[in-house]
Order: sequence, then structure tokens, then C-alpha cells
Amino acid sequence: MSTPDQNVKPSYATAKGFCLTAAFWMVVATLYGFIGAIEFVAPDLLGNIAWLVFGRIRAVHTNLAIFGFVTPALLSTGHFIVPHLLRTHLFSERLGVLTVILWNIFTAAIVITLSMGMTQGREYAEAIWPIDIMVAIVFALMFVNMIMTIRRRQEPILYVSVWYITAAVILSLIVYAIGNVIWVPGTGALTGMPDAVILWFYGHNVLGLLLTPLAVGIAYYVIPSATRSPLYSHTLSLVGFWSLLVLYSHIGTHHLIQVPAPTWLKVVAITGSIGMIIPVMVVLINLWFTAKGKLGLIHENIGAKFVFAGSVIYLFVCIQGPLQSLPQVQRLTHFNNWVVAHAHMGVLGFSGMIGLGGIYFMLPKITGKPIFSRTLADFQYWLVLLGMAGFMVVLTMAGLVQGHGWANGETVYRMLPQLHHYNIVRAGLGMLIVTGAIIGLYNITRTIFYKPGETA
Amino acid sequence: MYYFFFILFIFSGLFFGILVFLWALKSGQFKEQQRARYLALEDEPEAPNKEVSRSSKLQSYVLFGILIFGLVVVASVVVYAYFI
Repeated sequence: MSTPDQNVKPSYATAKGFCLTAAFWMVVATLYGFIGAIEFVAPDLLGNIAWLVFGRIRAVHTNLAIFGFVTPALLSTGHFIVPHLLRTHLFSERLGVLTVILWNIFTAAIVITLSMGMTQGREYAEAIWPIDIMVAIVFALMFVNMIMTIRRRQEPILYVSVWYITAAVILSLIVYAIGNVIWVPGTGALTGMPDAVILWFYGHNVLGLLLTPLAVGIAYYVIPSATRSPLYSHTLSLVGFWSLLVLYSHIGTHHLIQVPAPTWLKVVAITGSIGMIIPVMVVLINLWFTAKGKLGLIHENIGAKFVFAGSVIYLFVCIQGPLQSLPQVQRLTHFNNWVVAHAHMGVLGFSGMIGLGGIYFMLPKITGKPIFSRTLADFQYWLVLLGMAGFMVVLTMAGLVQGHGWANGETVYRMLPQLHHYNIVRAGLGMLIVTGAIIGLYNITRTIFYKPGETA
Repeated sequence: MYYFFFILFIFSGLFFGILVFLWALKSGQFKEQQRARYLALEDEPEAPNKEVSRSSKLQSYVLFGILIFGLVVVASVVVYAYFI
């Protein structure tokens, strides 16, 4: 096995590539979300333009948020910190750049096909079969790159972030391939109840085994590094990692409490969901004790500030999540805007914030230049945070109105006027997030490409 | 029949998980935990904390305010769902 020359500075092309990918698709993803929000307020505004009807806009928005923005943002930092923590270089930057290019091709293909109405109609698994195969291949290539980097490591101990990030890549490959039923090219689905079970095994694990481990892995690097203090307990962090693997994998059926899924599976799902409080608390205790008394250093670095906010929202989402899995609570909160609020807090608030934080933390290290504009980054922080916190408030309220309407046997159309003003506020808040995304794209692009000496 | 395969799938996951865990145990991943704590720090000595500005404090209050508001809403719904 050849060992890389430590004196040669790597190009970090993969990390930069994923960085630009995330920044670009974040704008598109949030724009799609914004259009969808407008359609809730004014359904006839865009007429009947086929590729802009809500059914297609919504699928493009969710797919882009997950695969266009958050995952590449996290992978970007992931491709920097794994080699960095192993005191080596990435196995192959070429292979890495290839994954970035393929990633962008399939993301664009998802937008085009879903806009044309070519969909498999399963939530978050809408992409058609050829795209599914491409996603699986990209994850496989990335896994090769990660595992070979680990094999060439100079540091024998795998720091907890390496565990989380590598696990996320391989588990996502498995979850994606199985959840998308890639052995049935035509429909990408089984039939009947088994399909629902396998779909939500996938749907939940896109968060649980892709976004969560990547985000947690990055937080475990950024917080100690920014506060310049050792991790509170590495053993505890490994306890968290292994318990996440055991508890998180099969809780997807908590999306199916009100349907005839097998009871034993519901029990597994709810038990696992409540049990998730263990790995979550382990992560937070560890991170916050590491950062204890170091708030000044956290706020000094904009990347760490984003990541810290992400960790706070992680606590919220992961207390809300387990409690939502309780059947009595679900009667009020399921199938309405409450869950939409929860999903936004999870994807944008927790993993999206940590994704952006990871990028802002990493960029000065790999470019050798400070962030182009700290002010703009701070501005983006507040736009995203307030937009999202507002979302949580408005959509939670709207969700409870809907939930009660349902519980009282109201017909759907009689509830709609009551949701109208919530939807208006929601669209307004969406504008904050789109603006934040545009600012982020500008700031990140300028950081990578500007010449030293220029100022904002 | 389908659920048989699903159970098989769950257990194969556990099985491979245990294999990786045993590799970790054998290759000494659970040793030297004190040193592992410092791995993220390379070249960065422990630094004294920076002064926390008023604005930083205020920003943190807002962040935790959002958290507490959210948790209170969730707690209320749980109480409502089970006790009222």
C-alpha cells in the first residue's frame, strides 16, 4: 500500500465540487419550495402549466432539498474531514470529482423527469429506475473512495466522525437500493402493505442513516476543533454511534401506525423511536460539554455558529420525533402540516444548518483564505434560522388546526379557509430562506474563486 | 412470505453490524480513548475562551428561546393527547 506524501497539499477538488453543488441546488430547492408555498396561497396563479403544478413542484422540492442541497453540503465537509482525521489524503480526487459530476447529472435528471411527470409516485423515492441505478452507483463509488482512504490511514484510531460518515455512505447505498425496489425496474415498488413498509423503511432512513450520521459526524469534528478543546468523551460518542445503528434502522413503520402494518413491526418502530432519545442525548451531552464555557469561540467562527445552532435544533427535532411516534399523539399530528414543520426542522434546521456550517468551517482551511464575507454569512444564518423557526410556529399551528378538524369529523374543504392566513405567512417566511440560499451561493462561490485582496 | 424476508433483512443487518463491531474490537478501536479525544484538534492547542459579547449572548438566548418554545408546544400536545 502506498502512503501519500504528507508534504503535498491536496487539491480538495471533491470537497469544493460538492460545496458548489450544494450551494447551487439550495437556491433551486428553496425556490421550488417557495413556488409550492405560493400555490397554497393562490392556487390559480400559475395556471395549468404542467411542470409547475403542485404535485410536481412538491416532489422536485423534497428531492432537491435532500439530494441537491443537504447531502452534498454534508458530503463536501465529509470528503475533507475523513482524510484529515486519518492523517492522509483522499484516496482519489479524480474518483471524487467523478462522483460530484455524476451527482449533478442525476440531480438535474431528477428535476427534469419529475417536471415531465415521470415519477414512481413513492415519497422521496419518486425518481425513475435509471436514476435510481445512477444514485446507487455514485454511493458505491463514494464508498470505495472512503474505504480506500481508511485503508491508507496514518492514524490507527478511527475518530467517531469517520465512523459516522463512512457508515452513512454505505448504509445509504443499501437503504436507497432496497427502498427504491431497484429489482423491479417498471414500478420501483412492491404491491400492497409490504410496499408501504419498505417505502417508509427508506423514507425514514434517508434522514436516519444518511443525513443524521453525516451531520452528527461533522458536528463531532467542528465543535471540538472550533472550541479548541478535546471531545468530552470519545467512548461515549462511540456508544452513541452503535446505539444509533441498532435503534434507527427499523423505525420507519412509525409512519404507518394508522394503517394495517403488522403490529410487531409497529412495536419495533415505536420502541426504536423512543429509544432514539439515547443516541441523541449522547451526541448532545458530548458536544455541549465539549463546548461548555466556550460560547465566545463558537460565535467567533461562523461555521461553528451554524453547527451549534444545528445541534440545538437536533435536540428539538429528536424529542419531537419520538413523541410523535406515539399513537395517541399521531391522531392529532399525522397527515397534516405538523409533520411538514417537523420535516423542515430536521432537514433544514438540523442537517441543513450543520451542512452549511461544515462548509463555512472547512472553506478557509481548504482555500487558505477567510470566508469572502462574514457579514453575509451571518445574515444568511439569521435568514435561515428565522425563516425556519417561523415555519415551525406557523406550520405547527396550522397542523393542529387540521388535526382537530379531522378529529371532529370536519370535511376537508371547510378547514381550508382556516389555513389560508397560515399559508400566507408560510410563503413570506419561505422568501427569507430563498434569500438566504442566494446569499449563500454568492458567498461560497466568491470564497472559492475570489483573489486575495478583494473585499465584499 | 414477504415479512419473512423482511425479518431476514433485519437480522442480516444486525449480523453485519456485529461483524464490523468485532473488527473494531479486534483492531483496537476502543483502546486509546483518551488520545482519540484530541484527534479533531491537530496543531490547535487549547485556547482561552474569547470574551462573549452581548450580541453573542442575545443571539444564544434567541436560539434557546426557539428551542424552549418548540418543546413546550410538543409537551402540551402530548399532555393534551393522553390526559385531556
